[in-house]
Parts: sequence; C-alpha cells; structure tokens
Amino acid sequence: MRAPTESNVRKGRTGTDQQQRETTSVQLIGNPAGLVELESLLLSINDPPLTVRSPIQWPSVPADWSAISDIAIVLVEDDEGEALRVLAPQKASSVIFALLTTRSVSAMRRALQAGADELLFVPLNVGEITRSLLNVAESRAGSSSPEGGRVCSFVSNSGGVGVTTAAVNVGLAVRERLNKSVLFVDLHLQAGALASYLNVTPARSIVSLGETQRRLDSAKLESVLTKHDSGAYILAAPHRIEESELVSDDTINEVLDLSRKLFEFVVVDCGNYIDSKTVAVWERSQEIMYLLTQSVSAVQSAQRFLQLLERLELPRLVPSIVISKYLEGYPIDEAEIVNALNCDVFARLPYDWDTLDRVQLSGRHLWEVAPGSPVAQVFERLARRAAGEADEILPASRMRFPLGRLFMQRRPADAPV
Amino acid sequence: METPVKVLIVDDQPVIRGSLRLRLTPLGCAVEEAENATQGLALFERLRPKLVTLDVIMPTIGGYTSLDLMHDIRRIDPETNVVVISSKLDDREAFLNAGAIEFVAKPFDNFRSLARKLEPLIQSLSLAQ
Repeated sequence: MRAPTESNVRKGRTGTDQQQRETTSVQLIGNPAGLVELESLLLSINDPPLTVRSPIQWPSVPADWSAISDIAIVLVEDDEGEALRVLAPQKASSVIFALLTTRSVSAMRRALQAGADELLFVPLNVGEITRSLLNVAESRAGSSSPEGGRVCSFVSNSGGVGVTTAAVNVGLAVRERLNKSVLFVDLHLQAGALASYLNVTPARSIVSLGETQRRLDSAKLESVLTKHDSGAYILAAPHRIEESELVSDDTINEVLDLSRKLFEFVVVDCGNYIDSKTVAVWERSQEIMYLLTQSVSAVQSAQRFLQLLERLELPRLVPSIVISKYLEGYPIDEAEIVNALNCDVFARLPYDWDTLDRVQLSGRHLWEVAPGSPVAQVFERLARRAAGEADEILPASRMRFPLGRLFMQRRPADAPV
Repeated sequence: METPVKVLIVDDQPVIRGSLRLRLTPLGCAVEEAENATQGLALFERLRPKLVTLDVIMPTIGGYTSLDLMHDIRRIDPETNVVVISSKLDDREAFLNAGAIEFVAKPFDNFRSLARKLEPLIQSLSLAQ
C-alpha cells in the first residue's frame, strides 16, 4: 500500500494572514493518469492554500482513506462501480468531491447516492473547483463566526409590543455609548416606521436597490442610505405599502452580507411578520431579540415563535427574550413568563411611555432627552448584549403561578406555589 | 434556452418551504409546494416534477407517510430525484434504500449547501428537458 505523499504546499497570502490561514489538504483517488490534469490544476491554485497529496490508485485504497485529508477527490470514470464503492463510507470525515467524466443525470444521481458532497466534471473548470475548495476551506475556518459587524434582529410574533422602539434605542445606544458605526435596516416593510422614530425623511429606500440588475456594492448601498444626526445610517422601508412586494429575498441577503463588511453593528427591525425573508435575516444574525408584553396572547405568540425556532433547528440562535412595557405587580409577571416559555427573560423594559413620548415629540433621541432614565439604562444593557459585550441575565422574580393551563404546562417540579 | 426544472417541495412548515424555494428558484427551478404527503402525491401525479424535496416529519393523513410517498414516487417514475430532509438520522437508511439521492439532516443552515450540491444536477435536468 502506497502512503500518500505531499506533492506541494502552497500558501495563498503573505505575512500574518498567511501564518493564520490553515492549508486544506486534498487527497486524490483514482487512476493517476486520469488525475494528471487535476493535480497540475490544483497546484496552480493559491487561494485557498492547498496541500495536494499524490493520487492513491485502485485497488490500493486504505480503509481509513477518509481520515487522511480534509477533501478527497474521487475520479469516477469507467471503473465507476469501484469508485462509488470507495465513496460509500458514511462516516467519512473528509468532504468528498466526485470528479465525473460525464454530465449525465444518472451518473450524478449515483454519485450523490453514494455519498458525494460536491460534484466536479471533466473537462475541468478552474473557477468551479476554486469555488468549491473555498467553500470547504471557509467551512473549516468557521465562516459562520462573526467576521465583520454584528447583526442584531428585533422581532415579535404579536403587534404593538414596541419592536421598532427597541430596535431604534438599542441601535442608538450602541452608537452613543459604545461609539460604533451603526446601520438601521427597516424590514418592517409595510409599516416603515423606523425613519419616523429617528425623525428623518429618507429620499430613497431599499426598493431602489432592486431597480437595477447590477450586483450590490458599497457605492450602490451608500447611495440609498440616510444619515441620522447621531452618525448612524438608515436603510429605509419602501415609501408606499405596495412597494414592499418589490423587495426580493436576494436583495435582503445581499444587503446584510455587505452591511456587515461596512458597519460594526447592523440593527434589523423585522416587525411582527415572519416569513422566509425573516428567517434569512435570522440566519445572518448574531443576536435575535424577541419582544413581548405581559398579556396571555403575547405569551402564546412567543411560545409559537420559540416552537418555530426549535423546528427550524438554528442551533446557534437563542433569542434574548425582552418584556416590553413592563409593569411591576401586574398578574402576568416575569416569573410567569419564564415558566410559560421555559426560558430565561433577558430584560424588562419599564413602562415609561412618558419619557418615550417626550423623545418622540421633541424630535431628539433618548440620550439627549433623558440619558439617565431607567428605560435608557435598560436599552444600554441590551445594547451591550447585542454588541457582544455582556451576557448577564436578569434574575427572575419570585415564582408564582396563579394563571391557568397556559402557564401550568411547563411548571418546574420544584417551583414554590 | 434552458427550461425551468419542476420541483415539488413537500413540507408541513411554510417557512421551510419558503426557504427552500428561496434557494432553488435562482437555480432555474419552477417550485410547487405541498404541505403533506397526500397532497404531495396528488401534485406529483399532476406535475411530474424532476426533483422532489421531502420532509420526513410530517403529519400523516389516513396513515399515509412520507416513506409511502417516497415509494409511490419511485413506482410512478423511478427517474425522479428525491431529496429527503429530516432531523432524525435514523431515517437515513430507509430512505436511501428506497432510492433517495440525498439525505439532508437539518439544521436549517444545511439548505444552502444542499442548493450548491444540487446545482449541476438541476442544470443537467434543465438541459435534458
């Protein structure tokens, strides 16, 4: 059995970046004559940096071949049966590329059934191979970890709970108190109240981004943003309700991907409507803040939201539950809500609409009008959490459970009555 | 000019159907949706899609399960490409043995790589029509 040898090691970048980047090892499997072109092509790729191991030929493939490298490229030609047998191990730790000599649907289907993770084709296309290798290299490096700004989404499954109020004030607290660059994205497309809360009149909205076929770039994005006095920027919702249908999912994805590169903190007001666009935003969020009030219907809606998150299986995302318009002494208190939702409450926003009304009517923001107010302090805590600078949880209130079945279902066995 | 590839998404969760639609439409797919296995069979017989994505954990109506639907699809048209989506790895063998070309374990983030993986197959299906 021939041990794999390294035929080349390439590093794609220089300096510190180069030292930090790991190389991705590639094992070729199949007839060496058939892999000559692929091997020389791989040796010419600088990014991602690769370690290319010489081909292992049939039938000398070791049983543990999948543990040897990060990527295995298996040539599937005339001896297709043998190649597919090699692909078959289900516990392979490598990412398996099947290199097919035909683009027939049946050959692709068999390769996928055999366990191929990616399909490549002869004749080889350097662009396709590089893209596939980069995808694997980025996955290995943990591309889902924040690289660039943080995205924080605000959402609720019930109306009138103060989603926009929270989004605006958390964003402004990050800007004012943490001195970070901030972008507000108003995806509460039909209501479009975020600009009013910030007391700005946007000339352009997110709709403008979908008006041309040109791919979104920083110049195009900046041309539709409105600047707020605080230095934060706003990507406004459509001016007219009917225009909200013109905002495509692709536009939203592009906006968020680019915004993270341009801003340190991106606030997304998702409003209280959940669809595939909202889920796409959550996938790109480092923090989701869910708002509810002390009402039975709001708690039920929150339960439905948490059940949805469970079904979607987005394991990275644990929403921060925020009780809005919180009233001490109200029968549905924090402990009741903790019990009903079976998760901690991160913060309570006090029912201080006197202060918030003064803010709105004055046209100035909370840190100009009432910087030391209790509500401002809670927003600052939320801002630190959203910006990844704090992780504390408010202690739950004394546990009491006087309400009916809704709250009794998940009552802890050791909870005092 | 390439013809859109007919795709049927069978899943009881509208948000998951929407998310799969979001990823498959840009690849040149004409997507139809069914929310349970019974409805999925009716739509399959009418539309004859080239690709079906099938969620395993769905409410059954009259005891008709996703695996039953899988078998019926293979019986009606063995060339149909069926991708199975499930959070339970225990289901994997049964569905692959029944002819599924791909078994995607949730979480949700995997749908992006699923679309990337299926892209060449969808292109070929489009050209073959």
